[in-house]
Amino acid sequence: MPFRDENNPKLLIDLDKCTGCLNCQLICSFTYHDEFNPALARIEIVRNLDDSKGLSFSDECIQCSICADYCVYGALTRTEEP
Amino acid sequence: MTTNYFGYAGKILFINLSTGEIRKDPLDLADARKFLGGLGINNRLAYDLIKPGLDPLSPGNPVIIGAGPLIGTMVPGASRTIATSKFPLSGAVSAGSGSMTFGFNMKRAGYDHIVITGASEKPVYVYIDDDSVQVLDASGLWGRDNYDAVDQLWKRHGRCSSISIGQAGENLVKFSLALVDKMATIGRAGFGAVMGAKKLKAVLVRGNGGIKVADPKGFMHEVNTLFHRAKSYKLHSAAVAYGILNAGGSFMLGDEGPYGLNIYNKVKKDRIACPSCFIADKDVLVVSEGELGGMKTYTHSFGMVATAAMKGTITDYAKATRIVNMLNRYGLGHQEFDSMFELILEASETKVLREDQIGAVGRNYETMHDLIEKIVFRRGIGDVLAEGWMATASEFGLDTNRFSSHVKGLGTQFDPRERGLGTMEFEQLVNPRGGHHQSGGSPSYNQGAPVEMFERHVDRMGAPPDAVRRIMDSPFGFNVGRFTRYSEDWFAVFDSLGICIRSQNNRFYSADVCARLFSTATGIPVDKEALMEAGERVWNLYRALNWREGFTRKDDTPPPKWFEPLKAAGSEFEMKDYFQTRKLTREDLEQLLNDYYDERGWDPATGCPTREKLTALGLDNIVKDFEARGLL
Ligand code: SF4
Ligand code: SF4
Ligand code: SF4
Repeated sequence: MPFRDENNPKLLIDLDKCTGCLNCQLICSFTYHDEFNPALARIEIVRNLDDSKGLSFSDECIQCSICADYCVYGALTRTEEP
Repeated sequence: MTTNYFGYAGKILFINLSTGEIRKDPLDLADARKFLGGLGINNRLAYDLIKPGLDPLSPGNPVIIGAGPLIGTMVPGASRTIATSKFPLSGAVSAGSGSMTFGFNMKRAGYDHIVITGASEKPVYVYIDDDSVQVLDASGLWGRDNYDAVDQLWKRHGRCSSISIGQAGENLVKFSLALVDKMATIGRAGFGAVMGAKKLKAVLVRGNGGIKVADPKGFMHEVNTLFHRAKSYKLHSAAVAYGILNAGGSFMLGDEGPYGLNIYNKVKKDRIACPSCFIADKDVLVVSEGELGGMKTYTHSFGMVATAAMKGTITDYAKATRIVNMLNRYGLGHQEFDSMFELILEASETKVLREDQIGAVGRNYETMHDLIEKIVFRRGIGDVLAEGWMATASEFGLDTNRFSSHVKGLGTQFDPRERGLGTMEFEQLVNPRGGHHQSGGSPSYNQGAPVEMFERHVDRMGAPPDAVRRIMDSPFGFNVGRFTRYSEDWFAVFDSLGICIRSQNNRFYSADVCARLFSTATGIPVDKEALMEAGERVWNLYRALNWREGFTRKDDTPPPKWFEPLKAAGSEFEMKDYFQTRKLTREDLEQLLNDYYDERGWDPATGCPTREKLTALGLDNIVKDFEARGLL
């Protein structure tokens, strides 16, 4: 079921479609910290030991939605705020 | 981690399991210019570290892991990790490649290459967490399969990346391999046994650093163009849905049947991408019902399940999946197991092997299951089979050429009698590591490619115009020997930079794009000519490494079986060229080999680089070394 994160309600998240490519984290860190480094991204992608997944935005996220432009799998979609 | 390097992480990590010594050397940028990284610098390290003639299972044989300069960045599919060592099945210095997150973590931890030498007395694993490098006790993990062992390690250390072996590697099976992140295979032909001989159960790495590029704007311009192309690629969703089983937008294995789309959709639980990949094709498969209900299998393609089902005429998908599950858990090479299975069946059908020698065998699930168990745990006849089928043939007095197609002791997967002699088929003859096809990619990977596509493709791969003319001037539409040289150089560039060579990814790249990506990422300016020359240098070094081991043109001999008709589906198939113009003779193949060596500038008598070629590529130290050895 697609859902939203309160730190970035502009994006609709569909976890089922997330492949873990990390392009969202790479572009976010590169845009705001000039290096490719998931640890500096404002979006977090989690894969648990049982293969279940998680996706969330940190409170530093400025809702620019650039990460969604690089998500080619449809896991992040720009929408108007609900 | 902070670094003054762009693209590169900047360090090479050396771990000696015999002495416990751990050392970190700075990456030499002169090597980076010459050999790019990944496969290239692995080769360069192997040249110094592998003493010619050494036993692949001896402590002296190094494990060299390389991650190219584009890994860790957003270059799509830049996630190829290369493992180089002398592999025991063929005795060739070989480079296996695997994807997933190992290279990504290595780079982020600060290492472009990891070199593991020596051997431990008791089972160990290596745990790298940024700067911290530890060799830890693995006695509780020895005897556990890949999935189980990595799960234990992840419970202990949290999720990180792993290269691990199963029982096949532990038991030194000559065609054992390793798995990356439980998912991607790496090093068919015995890389697992190389780790096993070192008592090395796994290498774990976690990196928390980042990668910087020299020219962020220029770099992102190239990356954005690639993303834009992928997004507007009309088969993008099919490529993501079917992976390597995508055939022009539909599922290669049909909609219905024991391994059709109906089954695939049922068993596919999730799709996984390597870092930065925009064409995710890794599968998590879960059998949902029956006796094997709940069984989870990680694989790079559902095609593995289909192959098992076809080979063993298995109609129950759960059982076919179980075969793949076993091979992966134990870490046994799929392809070699398949050739072994075929050899046993054929030898038993023709009564060369008797039931009292091998038991009752048939083309079925039970035989496959039983053979895997016997090989992995070296039980009964399995102890012989585990040594590879050359050893098996000699043990039972079988004519190796009668039962199998192999080159340099490594079984071939692509049979030219089925689809014609394309570049993948031809590559199996000349690949330094033996009958391996991956470095021979071209439009011939798919059937029915038009001839113009070959011209476009070889141009995209950076072949100069005069070479394109030579390649296209052939009675067979294109000269497969000459073409293959450029496929290899292209592959060498991809494996050195760290980009995934899979066709669904590599189709978006050209030599020009790769040169701009490399230059803007690393700050080392190259044009496409210089980049492709580096690829050529890397490949020449690969060949030289194996020339030093004694491999020459005589080892590039086509399998005799290729010249006999293949009996299948009630008809007979002969080896023809890709466009099926006519039957190919031994003389044709010898001529195509001559053309290949000629295009490489190698000596056709030895099939090895000439002094002139090595000198032109700036490999003067090798010329000196080979002169001293009496090879030049
Ligand atoms: S870019 Fe999309 S698919 Fe990739 S990790 Fe981020 S959310 Fe998941
Ligand atoms: S919306 Fe912008 S700031 Fe927030 S995670 Fe995405 S790229 Fe980063
Ligand atoms: S195409 Fe497959 S193997 Fe290659 S990078 Fe993408 S997910 Fe990984």
